Amino acid sequence: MSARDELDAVVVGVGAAGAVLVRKLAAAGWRVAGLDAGPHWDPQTDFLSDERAMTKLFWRDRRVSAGDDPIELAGNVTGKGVGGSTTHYSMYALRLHRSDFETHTRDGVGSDWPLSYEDLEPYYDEVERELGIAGPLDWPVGRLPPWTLSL
Amino acid sequence: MKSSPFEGFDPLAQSDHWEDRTRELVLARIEQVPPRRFFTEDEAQLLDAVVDRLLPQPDRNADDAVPVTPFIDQMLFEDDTDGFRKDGMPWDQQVWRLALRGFEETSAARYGIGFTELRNEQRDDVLAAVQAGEAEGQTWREIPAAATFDKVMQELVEVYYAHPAAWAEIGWPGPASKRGYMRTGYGERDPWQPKESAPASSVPMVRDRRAGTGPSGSGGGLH
Ligand SMILES: Cc1cc2nc3c(=O)[nH]c(=O)nc-3n(C[C@H](O)[C@H](O)[C@H](O)COP(=O)(O)OP(=O)(O)OC[C@H]3O[C@@H](n4cnc5c(N)ncnc54)[C@H](O)[C@@H]3O)c2cc1C
Repeated sequence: MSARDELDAVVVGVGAAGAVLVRKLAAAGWRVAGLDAGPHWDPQTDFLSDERAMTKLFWRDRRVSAGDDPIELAGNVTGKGVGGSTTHYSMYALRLHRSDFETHTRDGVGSDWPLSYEDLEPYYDEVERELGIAGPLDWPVGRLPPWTLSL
Repeated sequence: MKSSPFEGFDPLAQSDHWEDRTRELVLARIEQVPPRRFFTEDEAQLLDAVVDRLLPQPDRNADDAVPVTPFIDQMLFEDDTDGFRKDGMPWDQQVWRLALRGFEETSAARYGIGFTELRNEQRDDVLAAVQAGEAEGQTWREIPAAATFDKVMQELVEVYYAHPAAWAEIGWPGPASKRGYMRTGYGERDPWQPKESAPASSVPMVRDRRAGTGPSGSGGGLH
């Protein structure tokens, strides 16, 4: 790909969401590029087993938190680089409970989602297979199969 | 350290098992202490005196003490900060300069002399006043004392516990990669992990965690 190529789509920010979008569009035959503010890390050479050194994965551009109760934006809250926050997340992959989609109806708090668990279920299945998520057979919400990982 | 329940334990003895790049990094942290480039000489001396009270190392002689000020200096000089500030707080470089100026003002207000000239109890009194947000001085009208203290303390602790001497003190054997931990249940330890020779403060922590009050799984609040 060169700077003169015509593209169908450019995705800005190649984190958990952007990277999936790039892949889906490319698989559908689109010509697509993903741009990220940070580097494309190579875990083999760039990752060290040292917490202080690995702060380089974090988003540390200048930013200000304001308001009545300004939240803490420091530390490992977002990632900068291809993969985004998934370069240093914990890899728990939990499905929402059915009731999470309708907390307003059921509990009178928050608001209901415009989607139901059933709407999302095929996507949960797909992403779990792709990420190789494993879990107990008696998982309370939906299926969480003990996939055999092929590495 | 004499007070350590892991006396005699040296994480560096395990360094052959670390990945090469990680070992180089950790050894550089010991052997190549960064030069002073951000702080003035006076500021560095003052920060040394503050560190000496907030992270005292009474059982180490000067050569073995964990250097903290030089790494704060490096972080600020290279702008290797977390890049974040709360509304009303300046950027980190300014916070550190103001904090040091504030410690001076509070000691002048309370004792009529500079922080480095104070006795230990007086230094502690000044630091406690800043931590409680009750410190005198013009600086503390410009930036909030308690929040500044928290930030200073947190960053000092981060530097301190990046050093193998601090790991030795808490019985942490250093980078887990590439070997990894095999025995991960409560009370289990891999052969290369040190054994406590005396009850340590980690014991009540474990007890709390079992009771379900502490963080579980991965580190702390973020998972
Ligand atoms: C420490 C930690 C642990 C976590 N653990 C879990 C877990 O166990 N399970 C779980 O499901 N979730 C976990 N998460 C949450 C999960 O990682 C995030 O919800 C997810 O990555 C968010 O995806 P995203 O695409 O919205 O943003 P990100 O993944 O953060 O990606 C955003 C990307 O956009 C780029 N970017 C931003 N602005 C620009 C710009 N102007 N130009 C170019 N690029 C830009 C950034 O560099 C980054 O790569 C964790 C998060 C953290 C921080």
